[in-house]
Amino acid sequence: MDHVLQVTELKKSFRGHLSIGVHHVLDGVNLSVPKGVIYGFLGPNGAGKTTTIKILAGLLFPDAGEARIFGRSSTDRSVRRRIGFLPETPYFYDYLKGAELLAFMGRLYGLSPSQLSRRVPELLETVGLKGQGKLQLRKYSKGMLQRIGLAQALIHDPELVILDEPMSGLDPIGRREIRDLILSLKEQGKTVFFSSHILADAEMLCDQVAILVKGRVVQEGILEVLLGSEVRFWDVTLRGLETFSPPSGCSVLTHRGGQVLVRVESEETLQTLLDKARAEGASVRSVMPHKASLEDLFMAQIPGGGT
Amino acid sequence: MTVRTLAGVLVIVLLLSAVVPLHQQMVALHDTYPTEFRSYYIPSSAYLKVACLGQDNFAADLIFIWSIQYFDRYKQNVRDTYLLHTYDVITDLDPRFYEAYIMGNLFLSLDKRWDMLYALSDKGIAADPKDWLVAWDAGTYAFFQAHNYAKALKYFHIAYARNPKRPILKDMLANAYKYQGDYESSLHYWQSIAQEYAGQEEHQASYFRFAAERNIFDLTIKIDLRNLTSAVAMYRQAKGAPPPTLQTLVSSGYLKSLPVDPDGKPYLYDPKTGAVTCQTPFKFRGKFGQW
Amino acid sequence: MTPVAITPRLTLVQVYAIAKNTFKEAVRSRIFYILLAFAVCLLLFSFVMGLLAIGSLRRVILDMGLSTIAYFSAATAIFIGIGLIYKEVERKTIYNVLSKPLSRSSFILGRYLGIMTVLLVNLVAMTLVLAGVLASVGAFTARIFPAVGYIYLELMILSAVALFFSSVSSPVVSAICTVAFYLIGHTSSSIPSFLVPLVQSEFAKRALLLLYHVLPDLNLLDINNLVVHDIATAPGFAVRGVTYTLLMVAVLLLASSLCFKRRDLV
Repeated sequence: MDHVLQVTELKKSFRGHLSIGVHHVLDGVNLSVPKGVIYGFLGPNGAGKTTTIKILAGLLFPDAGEARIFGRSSTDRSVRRRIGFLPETPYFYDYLKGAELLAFMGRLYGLSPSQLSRRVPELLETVGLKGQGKLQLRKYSKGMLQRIGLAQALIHDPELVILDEPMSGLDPIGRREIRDLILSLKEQGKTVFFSSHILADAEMLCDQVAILVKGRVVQEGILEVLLGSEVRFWDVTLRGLETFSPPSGCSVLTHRGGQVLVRVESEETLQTLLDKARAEGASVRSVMPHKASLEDLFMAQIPGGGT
Repeated sequence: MTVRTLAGVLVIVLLLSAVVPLHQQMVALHDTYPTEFRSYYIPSSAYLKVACLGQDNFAADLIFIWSIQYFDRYKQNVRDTYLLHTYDVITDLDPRFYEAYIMGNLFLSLDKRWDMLYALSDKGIAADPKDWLVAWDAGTYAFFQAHNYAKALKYFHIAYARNPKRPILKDMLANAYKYQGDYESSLHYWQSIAQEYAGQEEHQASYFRFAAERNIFDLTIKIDLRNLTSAVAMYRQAKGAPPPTLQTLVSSGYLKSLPVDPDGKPYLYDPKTGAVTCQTPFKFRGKFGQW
Repeated sequence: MTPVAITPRLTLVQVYAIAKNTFKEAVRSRIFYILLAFAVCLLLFSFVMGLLAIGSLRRVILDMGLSTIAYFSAATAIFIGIGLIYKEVERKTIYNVLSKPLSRSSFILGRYLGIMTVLLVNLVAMTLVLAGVLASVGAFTARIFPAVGYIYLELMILSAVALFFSSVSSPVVSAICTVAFYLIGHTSSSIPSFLVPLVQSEFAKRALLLLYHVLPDLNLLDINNLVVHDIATAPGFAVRGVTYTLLMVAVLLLASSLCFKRRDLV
């Protein structure tokens, strides 16, 4: 089995405040991550993504089920040599300087001082913090903290990288850089497992996804397969029409200043619309096909989220 | 519980079982240290007043509590050297700490250090003009144990002056005068008590009234007997022989008048020896002249 | 890069790294300097106090000096100790550390060694000041060094207690329990003299005596009195004292480790 990460029927509950009531967070999570892919772990708030990741990192212990990494249990210390982990909203010792933190974390992985003297500046540059190593962490911005968190996850060149919300706190430039970084990690043959809210990034990056809702994985698989390659609808922009009544099967989205935006759901209706438009003397500005997006897939899984 | 946890608990139990004999040995070694070094010395009150950061009373309390713990372990030489000093310090820190004076007096009385006791008590008396307990306490030691009636009287007077309402104080004053031999003063106080409690039947009042009446009776006899005896002695010295009768003393001018005992009976006189006795027995103890 | 194998050497490196980080953290905390400054002031003030106690200059400086060192280093141990584990969990900095190939026991050991190093620095500073005060009045005695050594042994046990409570409860509860342990540790000799005569059954008596032997007896490790009166410690006491301390520390660290090992870090 080439699966780097295998989670089977993982269950976890917490006792409520003051031991009143039980809060079931994970209700049988199943997923498997093959080697060398970028795997997106998605879900609404409170679904249990962070809990699952903490179990993978050995910070929490499951009530039932198991998580196997590289064929070994997640509680086995030896597998952590080969994992890099970035927690949600990283907190660090703010009296340390950036380079000191990386050196400290590196030592915990057993890297020698000579190795570290090479790796630390290398990594600072990779995550875009070149020259910021001498600054104290308390002076880092949120984005910088996110980057240094990523750096300490990569310091020992791990085979599997587990990231909890790696894009949070970053501006669009930062997000782009991290996206590129994740892609380059894949090129190096690493496996990346990350959880995120930002579906656009996930859609751009992931090979496979799992959608977690209320402690269970409701959708899992290769992204392209899940989304399908059919076009779902077209958005047509027409110009030069004062009034326009759409044929059946179309809906007018906006009609402003002679410009009409019409949504069409089938190819035949599209042809009918285009014929009608030309017949009424309108010019076709654009015809935009929309395939199923990850957002659609996502929302479909949420009860009451609509289609 | 996993195997590892169980193993861990087992190791803890094993380690603790090694600790027990080790601790016993250490305690045994510790006990070999000379106990005298656990000194009863405490530094001067000047130092302590600063050291306790203004909490003088608290420091006084602590030292007091400490001192009475070790009471039964004090050896004689320790008591000699440190006892008064300790109570001096406590009372310096809190001059109105009357329990300290009382306790100090108690310890000092056991060794019969009367001068130290009086010194400590004087301090307490001076420190609080309203306190009568320390004076009373000192007075009782002077009276009952030291048999120093002059001192007893001094303290009882102070106590009485500060608290005229307590009948026992007047009572003790009267007693102290009596034992000192000053029957007139004693009689004066007993009469005052009798007057105060005249006709009262309530328990405490009747006790004092009873005592007063008896004492007045006995003292009157004693005074009369003393006067008569000294008159007889003077006559005897002058005339070379005791007078034939008591009436002779009056007629010879040695006495103004011839007293009779409180029951109205005349005093008995033996012309051969010159002894004067009373035919009515004393109310206290029933034996002539015995208190 | 091939991952480094988990060997005893790696564990040592990890423990050292944690200890170093703990040291840095403690040395940058305000409470450390406040307590130290206070202690130094009191040590200098002991000179004044000595003058007030006429004729007992040496005794008072030694008494007050050693007591100040004992109390303030204990306070430092308690203040820093109770936060050792709890602060990490609360500030979530612990996630980064425990997700490394580091056993939780190594983490605890590292934190412990870190605080013991901090306390050592603390003690050395205070001892130097005391030595200075004593030397300035011509009353220096080299016996303050063994006295401080025994204080360090006491601190080793106290810190281990604080660490234990830190790994199971919040700072407030830890503080109360650790201070209680400190008081119990200094008054445990009252168990055989006061408590045992009070109970009736033989079994209860034996149980109390066992408790007496098992509780950390901090009073026994206090030789300040002996130093002031120039009485030598009994032969063999030092060895036993050190062994005793090491055993108690081992018990406490092991207990902390057991409690912490399977704890969910939410």
